[in-house]
Amino acid sequence: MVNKRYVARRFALMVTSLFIVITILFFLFRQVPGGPMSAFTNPRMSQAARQAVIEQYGLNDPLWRQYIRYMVNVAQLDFGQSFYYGNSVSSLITDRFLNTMSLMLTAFVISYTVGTYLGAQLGWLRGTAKERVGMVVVLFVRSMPVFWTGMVVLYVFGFQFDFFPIGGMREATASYDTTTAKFLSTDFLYHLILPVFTLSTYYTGLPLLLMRNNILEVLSESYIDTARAKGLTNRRVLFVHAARTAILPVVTAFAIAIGFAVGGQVLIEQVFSWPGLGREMVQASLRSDYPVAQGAFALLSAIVITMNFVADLAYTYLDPRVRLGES
Amino acid sequence: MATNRRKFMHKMGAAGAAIGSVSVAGCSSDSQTTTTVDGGGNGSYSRPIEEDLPEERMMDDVIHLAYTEQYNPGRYQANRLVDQRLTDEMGIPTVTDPVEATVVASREEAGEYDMVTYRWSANNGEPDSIIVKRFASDGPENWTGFSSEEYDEIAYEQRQETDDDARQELVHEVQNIVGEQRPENQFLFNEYYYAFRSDRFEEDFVVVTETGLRNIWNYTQIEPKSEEGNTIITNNWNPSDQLNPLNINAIGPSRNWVPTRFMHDFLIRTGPNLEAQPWAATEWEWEDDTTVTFQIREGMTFHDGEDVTASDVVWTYQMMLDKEPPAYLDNVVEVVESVEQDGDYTVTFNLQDPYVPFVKTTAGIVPILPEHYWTQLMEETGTTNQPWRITIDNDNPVVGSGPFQWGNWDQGSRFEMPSFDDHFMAPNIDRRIQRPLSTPDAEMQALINGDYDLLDYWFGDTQQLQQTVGENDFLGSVETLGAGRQSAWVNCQRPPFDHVPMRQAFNAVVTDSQQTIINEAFDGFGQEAHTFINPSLSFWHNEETTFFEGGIEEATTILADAGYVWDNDGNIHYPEGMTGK
Repeated sequence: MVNKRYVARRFALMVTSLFIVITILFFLFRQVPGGPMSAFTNPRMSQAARQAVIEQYGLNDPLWRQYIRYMVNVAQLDFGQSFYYGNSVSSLITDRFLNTMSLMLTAFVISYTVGTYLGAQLGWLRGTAKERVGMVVVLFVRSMPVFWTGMVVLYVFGFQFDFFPIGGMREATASYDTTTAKFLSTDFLYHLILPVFTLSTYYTGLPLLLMRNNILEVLSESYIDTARAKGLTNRRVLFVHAARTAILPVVTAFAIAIGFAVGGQVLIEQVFSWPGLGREMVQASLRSDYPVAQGAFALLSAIVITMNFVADLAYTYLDPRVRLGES
Repeated sequence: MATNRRKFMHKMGAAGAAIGSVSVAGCSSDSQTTTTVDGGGNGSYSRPIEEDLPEERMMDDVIHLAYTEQYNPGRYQANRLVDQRLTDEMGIPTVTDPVEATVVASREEAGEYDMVTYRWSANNGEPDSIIVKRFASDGPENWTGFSSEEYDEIAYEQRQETDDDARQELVHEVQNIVGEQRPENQFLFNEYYYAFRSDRFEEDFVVVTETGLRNIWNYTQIEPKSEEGNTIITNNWNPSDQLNPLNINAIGPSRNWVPTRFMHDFLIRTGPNLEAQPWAATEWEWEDDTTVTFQIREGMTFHDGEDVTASDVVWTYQMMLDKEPPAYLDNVVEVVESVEQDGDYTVTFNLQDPYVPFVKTTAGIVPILPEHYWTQLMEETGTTNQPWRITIDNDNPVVGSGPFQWGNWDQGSRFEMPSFDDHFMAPNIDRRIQRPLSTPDAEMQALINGDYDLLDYWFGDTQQLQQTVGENDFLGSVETLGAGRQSAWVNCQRPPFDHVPMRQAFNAVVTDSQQTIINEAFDGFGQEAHTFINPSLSFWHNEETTFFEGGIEEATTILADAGYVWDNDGNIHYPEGMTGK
């Protein structure tokens, strides 16, 4: 059961954490050399024009006033207007967020499903030749830099054999009227295959190793002996009795991974020309496009903090022994 | 590039090692001796040496503000070569200071540098944008701090001279003054290489200008050979991010400027040779030095079917005078006094001061906006005071009258522009789609695979692209001389470059390094450059501009004559009475 007071307290803590993070972000980005006008890469921008733009965005105000204005706007979920794009940060981030999540969520769901299953199997097969081979393969794949894997995959299947597109989310000539049509088209799924394959290959290692180690611990528990003594099948012992306990840390890892998924995989987005939030965050930081950089990092922080909270709550359902907020 | 880079670094090493032995040849005064320096392949030359020089005369580090190697490898290598030569061969301690692109401009404007390098070109083929803005004492972009009364007088005179030949003489003269005093030292005039699918287009119809293939003349005249050629898919620089034609970011960076210019019409356009050509105006005439009249072409329509008339032109300029968009402060607000309509097809501009560049830098840059559409847009979005802040997207698209029109914008991914068949220069193709990929390798592969029809930009290894074109007979290529120049601007406001002989000596070293820079750092794509006006602007370019030859020997002579001396370790010292920063 979830203690309501505990939830309320954790929620308040979340809001405080977010407030601190957003404050730090506000001042941090203003320390980057170059200044916000560098977002305007027009080399012929005159001093008068520059001054007009500075005033337009209120950047001539004292910092404390800019800070208060920003926090008031954020409280109303208004993250301002991008210096670079000119349009609202919320719509920009939403657009890039969908692009990133369609890639990262697909990859995470595949890698955590496959990783959890294979990890349980490898734990069960401990000491056998299969386990040794499996571990070598997992460690080998896990140690390959993901961007390198991406480049190899792209070179072989995109450049050499021309089986898959070499970048982007859709065909250049394809045009869709609705967001749903964009993300459910076969064209999109076709473009999704190579980057998802690359990411899944890399990310499978973590849940797999985590699950395997947990299974090894759980298998030595007496209730597993009891289950075996009852004459249950190996499959039932593994997946119903052992895996259910062993999966807890994997759930935490998955929740945190989802949080970080928002930041995308900058290198993979770069290799596959994927217009995601990760690349946008990097570019916004380089351009000193404060509103976009702050908005994107605030979103990332909010989701990481929220997912940690969600993981805590999920524990109570997965493990009845856990009672949040009770001494 | 890797092989070239190795070769280049090897040559740099050779250059560094070339300062061979130093020997004392004889005494010339009480404390000064003359030393002969073995300049390696450059022969030997003499430099004055003094002992016990006061520390305040020793030259402190010369800061070379530069873009990073990642940003532009060729430029970075050129910088390193010049800096190394100054340090090793001239005893001028030069430090390359690479910073992110965003920092260069702010440090340059704050004067926190001794020299800074990048590429710069004349605005729309009009030399005035360099002559006055960059080098006049009160020029808004005169970050070097260069100041010359003689120069200022001629610079302002040329912008009032309506006779082309007389103006040409003045423009040549200012190039000579800058050439003599050297606040700017050109590394090279860049040449560029572009590739396209020759199996899809008639090669004779491809038009190349100083911007390569991404020019309206090419996109309106190129003739498809096959069905695939009807749609041109290209890379663009980066994804477009701002297509509101009133926003400063829509008319500056190429990623936005190209589609913006393709969708709008202008009173004039600069032609393939950077000359002013009739466009929406069929002719124009200076009535006096502050009054110019344009005759608007009849029969033009906007993309929504409404007629283009003088009223739209007047509304566009008047709105800019009233609202003062930052993007048009320089070219409209500070230039135009009033604009008047005379009938449906005649517009007269009264200028605040005589300003001949108006035709190219104002009439050639201000898009003609449909009054009916923009007044509605401003009202509907509630953005009547700052229309440049209106978000232009698929819901509020651009309505212009240009040869291409708004199709569909998937921001960050692609932008599609169907051709506008009712235009007087209607393209032969059906549409242009820009869809950038994030690496040059992917872009080149896309060209080979047929996903791209041509490359508007190429930031990869030019030799690799050349080789690819050579290996595939379905690919064609064009080469062009860009309109700008790659230069080092020096800070004339502080030592050591506040002293003209030091600038001239620097120029001698740069001139001597140009061929190596062109061949090794830029793969042979470039021409030697001695003035700030590119030969692409053939009418204005002064090929007789003063510059300094003779390399290290000449540089040493210039400095020695000005009183500079060296110590026994080869470090340069200021002349007596002068000190460092």
